[in-house]
Amino acid sequence: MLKHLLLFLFSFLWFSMLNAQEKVQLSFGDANAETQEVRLYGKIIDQSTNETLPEAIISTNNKLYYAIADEKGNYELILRSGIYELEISYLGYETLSAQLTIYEDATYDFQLSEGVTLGEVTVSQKKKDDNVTSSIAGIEQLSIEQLERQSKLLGETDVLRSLQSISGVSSTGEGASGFNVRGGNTDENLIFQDGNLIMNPVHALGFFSLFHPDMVDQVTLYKGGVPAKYGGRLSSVLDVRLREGDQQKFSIKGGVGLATSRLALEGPIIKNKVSFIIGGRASYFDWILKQADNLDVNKSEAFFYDLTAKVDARLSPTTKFGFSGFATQDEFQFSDEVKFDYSTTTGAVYLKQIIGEKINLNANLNIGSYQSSLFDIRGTNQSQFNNQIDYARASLMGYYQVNDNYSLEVGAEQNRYTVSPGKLSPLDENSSILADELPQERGQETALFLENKLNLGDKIEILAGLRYTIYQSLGADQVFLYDENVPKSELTIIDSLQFGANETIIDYTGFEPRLAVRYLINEQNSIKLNYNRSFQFFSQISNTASATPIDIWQLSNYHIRPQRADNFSVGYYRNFQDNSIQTNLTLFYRTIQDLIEYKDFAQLLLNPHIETDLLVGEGRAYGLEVSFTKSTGKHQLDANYTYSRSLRQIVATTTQESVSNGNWYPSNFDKPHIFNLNYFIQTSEKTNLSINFTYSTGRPTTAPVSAYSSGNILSIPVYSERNQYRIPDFHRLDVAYTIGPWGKKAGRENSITLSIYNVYFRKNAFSVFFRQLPFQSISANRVAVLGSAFPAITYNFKF
Amino acid sequence: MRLQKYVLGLSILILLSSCIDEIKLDIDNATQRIAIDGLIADSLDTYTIQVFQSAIIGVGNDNVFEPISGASVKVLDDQGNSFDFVETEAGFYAAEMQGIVGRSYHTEIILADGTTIQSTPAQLNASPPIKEITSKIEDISFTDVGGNAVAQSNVTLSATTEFPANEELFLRWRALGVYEFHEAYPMAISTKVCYVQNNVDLNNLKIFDTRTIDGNTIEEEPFVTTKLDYRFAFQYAFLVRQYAMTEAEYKYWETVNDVISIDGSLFDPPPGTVRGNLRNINDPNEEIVGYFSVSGISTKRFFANPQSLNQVFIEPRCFESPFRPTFPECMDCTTILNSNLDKPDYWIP
Repeated sequence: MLKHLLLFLFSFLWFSMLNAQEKVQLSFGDANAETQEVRLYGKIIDQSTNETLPEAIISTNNKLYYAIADEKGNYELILRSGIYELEISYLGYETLSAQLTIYEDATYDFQLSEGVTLGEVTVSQKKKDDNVTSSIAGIEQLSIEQLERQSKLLGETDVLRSLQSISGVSSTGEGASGFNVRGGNTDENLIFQDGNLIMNPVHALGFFSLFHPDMVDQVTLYKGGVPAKYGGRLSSVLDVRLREGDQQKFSIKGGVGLATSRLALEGPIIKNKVSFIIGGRASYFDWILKQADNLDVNKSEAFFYDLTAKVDARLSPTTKFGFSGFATQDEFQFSDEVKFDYSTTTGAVYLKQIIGEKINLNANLNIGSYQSSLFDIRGTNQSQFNNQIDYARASLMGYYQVNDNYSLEVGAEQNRYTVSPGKLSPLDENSSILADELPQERGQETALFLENKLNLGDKIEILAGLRYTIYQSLGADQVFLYDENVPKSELTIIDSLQFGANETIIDYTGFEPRLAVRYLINEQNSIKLNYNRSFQFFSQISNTASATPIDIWQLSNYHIRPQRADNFSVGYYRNFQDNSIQTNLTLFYRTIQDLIEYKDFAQLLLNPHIETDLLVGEGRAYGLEVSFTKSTGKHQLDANYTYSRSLRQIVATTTQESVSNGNWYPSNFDKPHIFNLNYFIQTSEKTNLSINFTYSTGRPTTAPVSAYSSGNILSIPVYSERNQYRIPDFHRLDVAYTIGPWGKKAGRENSITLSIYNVYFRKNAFSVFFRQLPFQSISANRVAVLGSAFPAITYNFKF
Repeated sequence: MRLQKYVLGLSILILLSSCIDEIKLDIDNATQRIAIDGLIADSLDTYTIQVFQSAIIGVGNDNVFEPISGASVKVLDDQGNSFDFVETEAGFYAAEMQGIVGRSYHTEIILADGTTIQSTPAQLNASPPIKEITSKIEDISFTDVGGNAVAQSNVTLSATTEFPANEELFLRWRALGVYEFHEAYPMAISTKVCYVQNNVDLNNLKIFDTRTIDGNTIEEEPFVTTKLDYRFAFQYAFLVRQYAMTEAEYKYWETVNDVISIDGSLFDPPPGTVRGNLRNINDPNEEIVGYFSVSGISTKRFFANPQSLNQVFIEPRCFESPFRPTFPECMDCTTILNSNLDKPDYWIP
């Protein structure tokens, strides 16, 4: 009996496979015997301590046969006689591979050794040839080594910063919130942490992400093909999974730094049944800001904290239940002018149920809220501007392994969003600011999906999915109707419609086909084709060049149609030298319909008819990604180059409504050339050197081309067409040298990492702006956020 | 129990202390635009409409504009009246006239090549009287362009204006200044006193939308700030002009304010084109920059001197002492730009 089967969890998410260990060869019985059901049983134990490892997983590499060790480390795997590749894995341990030839019942005890130091971030490893054999193109799973080798700011490893070393992933600059995938906007990424939807993944203006580095288990980014179970965003899916707490013993992990500190506590609530993990982080930048000579910086304040908790309970061998949630808060004040804060509070519960041998069900419920406030703290008109989005999300999924070559996944999902788009209130009694508030907007997104996974022989694997989405804009609300022959404005309102509470104002429906085909030319070569369509029903409304934490979320409504993207990609994957060198070449093309843009100087805050300041157009992005990875040996190299464009077109009936006279123009994050390099040298057994270099074309900007005077204003710039010029190119070199680990006995470990961020003091421009001092010519000025080198020493020890 | 600790040491970190420096950006394909700058109001006065080309950035001085001469410039009202503006110097067209509250005005400019430019007709709204001007002195510190910490005292003028209930007003304040300047130098035999016109609100843009406040009084709204220095040693007379404009003009100045206050910060809007109220009727797609303003006006004078500013003493520019530097203007104050020896008739002795 496959009592401890957890097929769902592991067939999709667990790619934990061997890395450098020798294969165990096991052979039981006579190969000429008749095919029958056989039983392999025994214990899974720790190699050094002989401790048993409950919940260790033993599976065949095609995931068809599974067993999970019980509380005493005993497993029982029932399978058909034959030859298999086995994988035995346990969290925090190196995965063991075994070649199994079995024709009769047999017993064997597996010994696992504690894995590579998990360090700050724990990310499960993928199979060595996964890049060639998986059917979906553009899945990126970051391994612990990859994360650790990426650039460190202040010695901190960060998930989002590391993601930007992947081809096709970029950001508008240091200090920008969020990331851009294949020419998409930052709001086009669907971000989850353990089923919790995340609206804003960053702390401290984007220098840190809110994923607690000691708690992360697995980071998966879908930048090309997106499975049918995900929807609602155009560009990508970032799925971050936290690890479960230790079911056996309590432990504490922590870190103390100059600017941030963190702590994580985990352990059993009921041994072998219920575990928890809870972690928190807090920052204290203020004393650093106080050191600055610049008065504006001196008077600035920055602070964040987060608290993340997760509880997992094994209710029965086939039922698992859990909770995961977090709360974060950020505050930032610049000089005595402007202050903002933002926070996320979210929680999710899940239930996984295995039925029989081939079916499992997964239910998930998530409720969360993101709110941000902008404070004007200057002078007599002190005010506070709030906006908030509340969301609730329920999903139910079923997975059915029909046979060896065919599996099926079906599910349904519903999201409800309530947006409070703006509330202005005076900060104190003396402020003469008038309180103002826009009515709440509601939206409901319901989706049904189906995905088939089919193997046609050894060569072809097809993943064909379909998602059907119904979006409803719900009342109560007032909808303005405009004269259709002229540009929408406050003055062209001809009528209005009233809708009652929960009344459907308008609905949008559509099918989202998803297709992924892999053709395996041979074990080292494959070609993958992907096509997917997605809709997006709410967008971040921002009229700043980079996304900011206080951007408003705008739902699709009577006037604002959902955005639609069609993504195509084709990739060629080639591995050399026993998969130690992996190369890839991918072409992608994306079109976006009903793309939202803004009129020049759009009034986005507290605008009761925001549709009058928005423009609708088309977008397209295309590119070529080339990557090379050599991941073994003394010298290891990870290099990638991306050529891509991200363009937009807004054509309207009048010049005022068109952007750049209706011509295609580059989006704010159009960076044609991006090159990333990570060179890792194992300089000796105890030391290594990691060198990171990144280069990208400067992002587009709109520059003044001439100037005129008006009244007493001497010089008013006349700007070029949108995004016609570029800021200087971005490039940066970071190095890190690690000595250690030494003193490796009884679980103790020490290491020292010396790192320098931005070695050659490159003043990379965050933005370029133009200013004119009285009676001087207009000059271009760059703002460099991290304009000098940032050295750091990190001392790590563990006991 | 496993404990893992990270200690960050010796980190030099200046997080968020951004630096700003000048760079060279290659700007090509720049074209000049026709620009108009003009205003009429409801007081009898000589009004000027300037017609010129915008200056291409990086080519010569951005502040020197190429005038457009030989244009026919008119202002028309909705009653069929027309006022001809005559070119007084290259690109400047002037006429004496008085707008009437409630009427609608626009300008029509026909260039030598036949291009006809018109402004959108705008109604002239009355400006309520300024009830009071008050002054305040503030000590401030800031970091200057060179990165040095500077401490100085500033004089800020504020306006209090009552406006009719239920009326939506869009106001703008401008200030003109004249200050008294006394010559002084060692062993002077006779010294003169000059009255110097001072461009106190250059690049100062202060607009106000009465819909943003409760009630029908604008209370002490600050509108101009200037350094407290020798100009206030004897007397400084401000002539405060309060313009009541149309909502469209208010929006124009609002976007002008957006454009000129872009400073590279996180919250900068992407810059765009400031659209005025002028268009080329021959080619509506051509962008004409600038604004023709139709405003109601009300004025009030404010005298600032050590006594009214509650200062015991404000250091003058010139001293008889040989131990102080003697500036050239301390020996001949008429060398100061826009200075005059005639005492204005409104001057308080």
